[in-house]
Amino acid sequence: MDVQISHLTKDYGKLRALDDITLRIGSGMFGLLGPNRAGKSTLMRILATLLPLTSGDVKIDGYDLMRQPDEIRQRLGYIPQEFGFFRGLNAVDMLDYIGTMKNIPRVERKRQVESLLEQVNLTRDARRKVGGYSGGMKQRLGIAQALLGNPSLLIVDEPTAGLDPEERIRFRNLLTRLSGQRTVLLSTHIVADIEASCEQVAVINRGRLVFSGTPDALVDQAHGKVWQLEIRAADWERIEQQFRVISSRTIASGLQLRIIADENPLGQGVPIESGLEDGYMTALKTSMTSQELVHA
Amino acid sequence: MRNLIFARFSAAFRLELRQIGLHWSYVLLHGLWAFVLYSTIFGRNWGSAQWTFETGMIYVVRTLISGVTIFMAANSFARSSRIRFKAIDDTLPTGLEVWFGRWLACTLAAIVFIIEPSMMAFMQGPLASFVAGLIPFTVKAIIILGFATALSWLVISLLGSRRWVFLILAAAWVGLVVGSTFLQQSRLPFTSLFNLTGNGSPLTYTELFGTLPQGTNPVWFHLFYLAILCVLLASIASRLQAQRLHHVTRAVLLLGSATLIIALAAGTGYSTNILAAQAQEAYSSDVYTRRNADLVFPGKAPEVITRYDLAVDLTDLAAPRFTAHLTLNNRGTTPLASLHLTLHHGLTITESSEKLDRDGDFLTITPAAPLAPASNLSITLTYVGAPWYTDLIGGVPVANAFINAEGIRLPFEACWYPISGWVIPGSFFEPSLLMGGAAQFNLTVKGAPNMMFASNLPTAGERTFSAQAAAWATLVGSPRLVKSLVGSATLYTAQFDQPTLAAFVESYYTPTLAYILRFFPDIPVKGLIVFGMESAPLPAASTLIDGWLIIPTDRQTAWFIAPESAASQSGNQRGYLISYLLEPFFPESTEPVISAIPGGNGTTLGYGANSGLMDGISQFIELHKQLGGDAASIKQAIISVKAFDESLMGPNPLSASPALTFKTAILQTLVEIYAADGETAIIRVLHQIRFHQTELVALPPEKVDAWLQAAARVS
Repeated sequence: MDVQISHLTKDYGKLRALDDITLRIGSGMFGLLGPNRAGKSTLMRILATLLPLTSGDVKIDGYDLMRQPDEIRQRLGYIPQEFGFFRGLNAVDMLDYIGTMKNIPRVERKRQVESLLEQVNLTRDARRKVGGYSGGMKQRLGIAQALLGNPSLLIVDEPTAGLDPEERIRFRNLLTRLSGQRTVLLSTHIVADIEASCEQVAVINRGRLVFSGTPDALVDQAHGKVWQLEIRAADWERIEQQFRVISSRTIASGLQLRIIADENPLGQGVPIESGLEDGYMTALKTSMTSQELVHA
Repeated sequence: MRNLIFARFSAAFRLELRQIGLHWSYVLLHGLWAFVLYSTIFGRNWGSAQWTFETGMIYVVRTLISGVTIFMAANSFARSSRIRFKAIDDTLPTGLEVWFGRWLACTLAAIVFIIEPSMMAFMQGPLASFVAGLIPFTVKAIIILGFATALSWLVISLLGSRRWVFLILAAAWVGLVVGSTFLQQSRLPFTSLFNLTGNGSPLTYTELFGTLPQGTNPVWFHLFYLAILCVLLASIASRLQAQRLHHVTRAVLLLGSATLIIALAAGTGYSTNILAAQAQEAYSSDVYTRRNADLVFPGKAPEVITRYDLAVDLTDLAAPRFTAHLTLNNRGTTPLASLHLTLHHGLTITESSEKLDRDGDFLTITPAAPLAPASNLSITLTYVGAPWYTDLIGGVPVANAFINAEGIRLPFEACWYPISGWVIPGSFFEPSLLMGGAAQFNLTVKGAPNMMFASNLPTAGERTFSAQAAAWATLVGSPRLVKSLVGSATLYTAQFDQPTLAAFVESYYTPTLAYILRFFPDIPVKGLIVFGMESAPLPAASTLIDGWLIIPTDRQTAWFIAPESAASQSGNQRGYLISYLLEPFFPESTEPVISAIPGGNGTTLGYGANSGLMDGISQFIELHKQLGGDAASIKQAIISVKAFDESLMGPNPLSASPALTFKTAILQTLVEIYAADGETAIIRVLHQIRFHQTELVALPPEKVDAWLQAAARVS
């Protein structure tokens, strides 16, 4: 499965949500990172055939998104950021309905429904009405419905929002397992989700693509720019205004900060190994104009 | 591929039906609905199942059920968004079949609401009527409810499933119900087409003619909404395709365009009928204005038709053929070089035995030689076509005269046969002086073998009617018409109403007539010709025709008069019916009415007094009958009658109503005479009134007592 995005632009009236995005997504797990309102969901929804694009070109497995959306839908599994099911149906009936809509023949549909319920660990609750499911169970049912018909492209939009840490890890692992056979496009603003699972990553900020490559390459963006700095607590405000502080923790002498900066901050910083989050923040920082940085 | 499409359609249909049908609110709604319908409607005096469908249940569909449907459909369309399934739903590789399956399920869920009304109709029976009425009712209900569903879906599709959209839908529905009142008042020909709820529409379904008086308009109306329903569906489909496929398919565009054209054609057909009715109104109005001075009321014209031999050939109902042999007599004192007749302009004269000029309804016959006073002229006219005129009720045309494969209605005022003088067809309501006296009538009907025919003229053969002296002739024909002899009465009625009305004639009219006749021993009455039908084509007041009394009645009247009916206890309804039986004995009752009509004598004196006179006599006889002729009881009873009348008219009613003034005076005096001198005195008084009615009604009310007392002493 190959997703090719060329010069994709999406406008909502006068507001440009996506600006000249060009990106190629191959098989495996692909992470899409970006802050809130960066345009991730818009991109996801366009790829999921829910939104038309304003200009540019998108081809999924060779099918044109605007001209052959139904061909793409036939190969697509989608887990939206927020979703629900018919509360009065149980998981089997719900999946059977969606399977029918995905043109899966009856016998095969029955087999897939059973198999998927087992995969997402819902077999025991399969006959319960989905209206009584917990958030995690619904999320798992969401995966199951997306996997019906064995889609070659799975689009997952902010899947771990609202899940507790244990459910989040379980979910992430499940996605990783699934990505062996298909392209999984995972959109999130949680760096750890990407770090743990993705082979490729892209960063979007304010509708623009600011990075695309491997997670290691993203880490490299911050190479030599990550510093550890110890300060007095009273200096916090001044330092925070001056530098991009990634994290902080209290120590006996005051505060220990993790800072991204091109130069050694105050000449007192100690260079340290960069991580994916540092790379992500560096990519975001790089994408901002100098004026935006002052205001930030 | 087809199997897959059908599988998706079927799955969507079943899921939607399950979502709606198994929801507690739907089940509750049905329970409530059945309860409301049963408690408010059942038990009333409904007619046949068909009548129930057409006059009650279809309006229930158009108002209540369509209202419920609008909200149910909005909820159905919004469900996917509301439960946040839409994002998944929209990425599924489906086409319009899924959406259509859901729409169909929603519409079916709405249609299920007609089960309860259908049950009500079923309980009215008979089975044949239910079977005949069920399919048209269901088709109409499907169209209306399908339209309501589609409209609701389109609104939600355009505006989204926000809560305020439901308020807009509620307002739209209230607007439909309330707005119809304004629509009816408009003169624009298409406004009543938008009266979806039917509020204020005429209930023109009758057991005899069905919806025939409405002509083709019910068909245009429902075709219009069916086409609009398809236009709405095409609009929703095109919107969905634009969203999902980023283009609209030709099939959808074609469906939208074709059905829009059909809707426009249906709207045009509907409007054309209304324009025709308006044109007919305007025509009559124009003739009335333009030719007012030329109008000659029949009774005032010197030329009088003394004999009619009418043959109606209905072999080809599309082109009915009439032959009229007339004998005209000059009752004037000077020779007539030209003779005036009226014949409905919808009838085309093909042959005439005399030279004839025509201007619309007005015919001018020029005999070879002037017609000398007291001499006769025989004329033969052959004409084809159908007289047609309508009333516009609530903006909807309702035909009063028509000839159709399903029924024939030719009231006297349609001028379907030549009438002496120049009058405007359909514009007058009192025929007794149309002829300037009675004529001999022979009426023969040919063709239309599936129909039974009725006329005010006594029966002379299977399809022949004749009278030695009648002032007018009406002809009614229908496959549903039945004729039955009930004692001395001939009853013409719709098949369904026959048992009810035959029993009514037997239990009420026949004994009542017999009771009345004890006060009129010198009037030879052979019996009754009863037109037991809604809107019988009879005049407001009849005359005796060859000793036969012509009486209109219907199922509703029978119900009012039934012993178990509370309405009958007041006696007012009975008194009203008695006045119908009595009026033919008092031919001068109608004279003042005619006076007010163009061509009349120009005076209106005595109109209220005449009405009061008839009411007073009727009420006296009714009380006499009810109370077994006990004078003391009658005296007591008129106190409450007077109190009832006063309650209708306010604190000082007698000064405001000449009719009531007269009625009170007559009733009071008749009771006093009866108490003093008994029944024979009343017979003498009534005899005197019959022959000196004009003199009596011209009196001031305070002199009525003396006049009646004097009449009682005339031997």
